[in-house]
Amino acid sequence: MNCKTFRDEIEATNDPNAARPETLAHTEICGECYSLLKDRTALHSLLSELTPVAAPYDFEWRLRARLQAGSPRASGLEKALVWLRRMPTATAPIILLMLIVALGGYLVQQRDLGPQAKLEQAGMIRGKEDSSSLAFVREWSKEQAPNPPISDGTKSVQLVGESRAGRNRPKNNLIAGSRKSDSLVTSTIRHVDKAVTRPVVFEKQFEAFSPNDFSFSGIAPDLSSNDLKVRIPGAGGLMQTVSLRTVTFGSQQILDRPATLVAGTPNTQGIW
Amino acid sequence: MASTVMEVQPRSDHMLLEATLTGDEAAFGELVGRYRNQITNFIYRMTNDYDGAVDLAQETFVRVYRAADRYKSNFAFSTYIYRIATNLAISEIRKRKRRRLVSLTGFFLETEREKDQEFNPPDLKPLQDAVLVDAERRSAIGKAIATLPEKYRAPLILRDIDGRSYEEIASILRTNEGTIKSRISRARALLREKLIAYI
Repeated sequence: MNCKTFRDEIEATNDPNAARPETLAHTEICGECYSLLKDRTALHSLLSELTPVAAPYDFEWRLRARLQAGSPRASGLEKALVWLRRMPTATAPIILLMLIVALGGYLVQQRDLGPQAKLEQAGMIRGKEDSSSLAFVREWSKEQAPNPPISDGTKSVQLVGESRAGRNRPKNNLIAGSRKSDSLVTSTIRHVDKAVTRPVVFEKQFEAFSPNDFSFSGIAPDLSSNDLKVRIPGAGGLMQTVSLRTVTFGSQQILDRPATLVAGTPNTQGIW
Repeated sequence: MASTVMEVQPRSDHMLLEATLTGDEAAFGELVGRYRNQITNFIYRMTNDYDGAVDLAQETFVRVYRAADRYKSNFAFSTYIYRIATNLAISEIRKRKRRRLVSLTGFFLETEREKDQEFNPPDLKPLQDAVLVDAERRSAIGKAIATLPEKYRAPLILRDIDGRSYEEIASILRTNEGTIKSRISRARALLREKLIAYI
């Protein structure tokens, strides 16, 4: 037997002095084991001074009362009150601070929201979850015959649903842009986390056209569910309404029908 | 007239619990009688707070009673009840720790309870009254145990105060015996350091 065996035994016994005689004999000749035995004995002696505490005399009576009372499910308010009561005093300012920060964040978000988002938030425009496969195909229809289409190559408006993946970019953007010559001036008028699948009417005078000029004025109740209508200025300053149709095209980001009235060919993202 | 002496075998914990399930309140009372002091003492050593320990001991029995039908008899009832008590005690210790951590006022205003939880080695000036000396020493030992990290505290109490086997402690704390042995060894070393003034 080596020291390790003796040490293990000294550690394992509850009362080290009750170890086997050969172990105790070993400690007489081994300094380290003797030291361990001494420490263990001292600690054991201290711990044995602790008098065991007993349950109070009415323990059972209280327990029975507790069991009979049952544990009725506390209401939310009661739970909250209990939680508040247990909460340290200093936690209250922390919670208050968190609420202020949250409120501030909400207000900042509200300020930054575009008009459509505000409308959507107000319940005027409701989208469908997961719209990554939706796109708006341009399908122009003149409702006011005298007005020529706006596909004159110098100014046009297009709204496309765009699916992009990127850390800082929402998946679905509704893009409005004006086409000037060959370059497309686009601006995301809002980030569409929920695609617009209900009819929406854009009404905006584009006298001084700016992509950011779009705003939503409401939902046209008489439009078919697949139509997205936009009113844009045509020749002579008259407004015209064009319909945009939404189609599902899976993960492909290519529009499935050519735009007939607008010059140019959409790129793979459906942008002219 | 020949008299027959019938030896009444005490019912095992399992039998008492089974009887409890059939609505035998006396059986549950017997079970409570068997364990109430052990459990109270164990939780008291874990928390160093008698009233809290009594409350948690009661909660332990409430849980045993309510979950009696879910009790699996593949391990000892004592292991089962100690496991519940340990979990409750550890949960209470963590709650208190959180409260102490969160409380900003605690830096400036020390409550009695917090003061109790601090471990201050005593000055060794001799006291006149030996009883007081003993009481102070016992109190210091209790506080020293209560300030051990919880992972060392439970095994040490179960082993050195309750006298449970390594196997049972491993089962209560759901870990292996090797870990328990090393934690107990570490706990003893830490406790020795804390109580060096008394050793």
